Amino acid sequence: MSCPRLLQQSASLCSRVCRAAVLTTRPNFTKVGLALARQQLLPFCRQGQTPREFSCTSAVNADRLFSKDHEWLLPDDAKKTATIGISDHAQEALGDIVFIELPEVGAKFAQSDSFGVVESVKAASDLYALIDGEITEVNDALSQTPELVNSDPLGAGWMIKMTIANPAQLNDLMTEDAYQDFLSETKEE
Amino acid sequence: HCKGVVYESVSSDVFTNLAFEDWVYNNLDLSTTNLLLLWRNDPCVVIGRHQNPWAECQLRQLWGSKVKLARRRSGGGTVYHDLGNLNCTFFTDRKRYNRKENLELITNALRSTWPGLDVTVSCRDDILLDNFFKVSGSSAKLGRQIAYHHCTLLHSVNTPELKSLLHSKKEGLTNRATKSVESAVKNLSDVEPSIRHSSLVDVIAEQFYSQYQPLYKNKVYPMDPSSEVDWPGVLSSREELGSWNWVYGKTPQFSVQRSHTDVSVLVHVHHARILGVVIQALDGWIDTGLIQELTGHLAGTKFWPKDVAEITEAFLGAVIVDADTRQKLHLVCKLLQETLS
Repeated sequence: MSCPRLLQQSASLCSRVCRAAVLTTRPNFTKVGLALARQQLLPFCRQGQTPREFSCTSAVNADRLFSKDHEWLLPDDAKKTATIGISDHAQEALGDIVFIELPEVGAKFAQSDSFGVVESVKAASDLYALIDGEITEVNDALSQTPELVNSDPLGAGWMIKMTIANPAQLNDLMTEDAYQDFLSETKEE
Repeated sequence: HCKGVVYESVSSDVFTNLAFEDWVYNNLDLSTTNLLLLWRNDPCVVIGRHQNPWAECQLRQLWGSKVKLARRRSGGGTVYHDLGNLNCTFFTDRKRYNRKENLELITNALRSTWPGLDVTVSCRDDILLDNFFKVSGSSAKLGRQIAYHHCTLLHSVNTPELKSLLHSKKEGLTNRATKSVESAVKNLSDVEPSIRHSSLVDVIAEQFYSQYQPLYKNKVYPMDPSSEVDWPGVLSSREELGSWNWVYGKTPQFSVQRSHTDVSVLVHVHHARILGVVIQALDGWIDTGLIQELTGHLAGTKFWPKDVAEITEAFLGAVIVDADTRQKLHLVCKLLQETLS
């Protein structure tokens, strides 16, 4: 077979790349450092967050975390389950959304698995579970009105709720502020 | 900066070719390389990921023919393929996803060899001939590190077959699935008779290699997409893509109705299984208990002629009624069968 081969994806490389991008506003650390960072982050998140005015209709939530793939995750108060959706930047890039494919309640996913697909006039895009967990609720309104994701991506356009099987994985995500910085940085490229 | 490779599939089986697209999407690292895959299929109808085959094509006609039905992983509408259609899949790193660039590569390639050809890229990312006839449609799949944009290119397709299969009787059908946008189509060879599969492959590959530095040589590399040795996992992917559960079972919820004078049968279908059947008729036309019994048997059944026929035949065989009622039950079952395609 004279067909030339191409480079294959390396799973570890992928996760390293993701982490490097997330850490632009955080210090580099090893696994030991992770434990320390967690101690530093949690108090920081809970104190000193001044409410800000936004033009969108959703409530500002200082606990909302973002991924560099433009998805958001909002843990509940007990940090037992989390709501997941896509960011305003993502819905704008996708264009008019015509269909959203979501999983069944009870389905289990690992971090980085695709849990669904959003179809817009431009393409079918995979949606990724940001953490390990099991689906507890699915936004059924989206099967009737997928446009909700365009009009209210952080509120009524929420997609799934899932259990947080491994709370440490929340550290792989960034705060809203870090996400805004990330957006400005990628725009400048 | 970015290198390129062109593969041509030696297979004309739509499921195998789609499985290979999946394999590339799930396995390759295209951070520094673009891959162009050229392929064509034996006659088949390909629906978009979230479409409804009952709404998009003449299933009865398809089932009675050798034409296959496939559901692709990407979005978009329904198309008909045969060997007179060339498929181009542009695999790139997610950051390099650019449909217009790919389509312009194709139109530039066409015009460079056939300067009289009036081909342009429309705002819907179709390629139009003479600013009117659609000769290419596109769709795409996006992941976090990788993306692909694939498109058709009609050069010598059996257009009467295309028109008869894709012309759908959508009467009585309501659904939330992605809808196709119908277009007038034409073959490139109708305008330029020297356009054929081999010349298109050469011309497009040449244009591709002029834009992206060849990773190896500026050759079109034939490859066998069914080789489990080269692409581990491709055969189980092929099996999934060819399965009833994927092709039909993925259909979003819909309802379809058939009537005859005052009697109508409405079927609610989800993932190609019957959710419920509602029979409407004038008061007193038939004993509602009988109807409830029949619809009770149907709930959960596959929305498929063979499966529904088994249920209705068993019901009609077991039920003890007078001749008049039996005739009415036959009518209801006939209308039910009509909803199935």
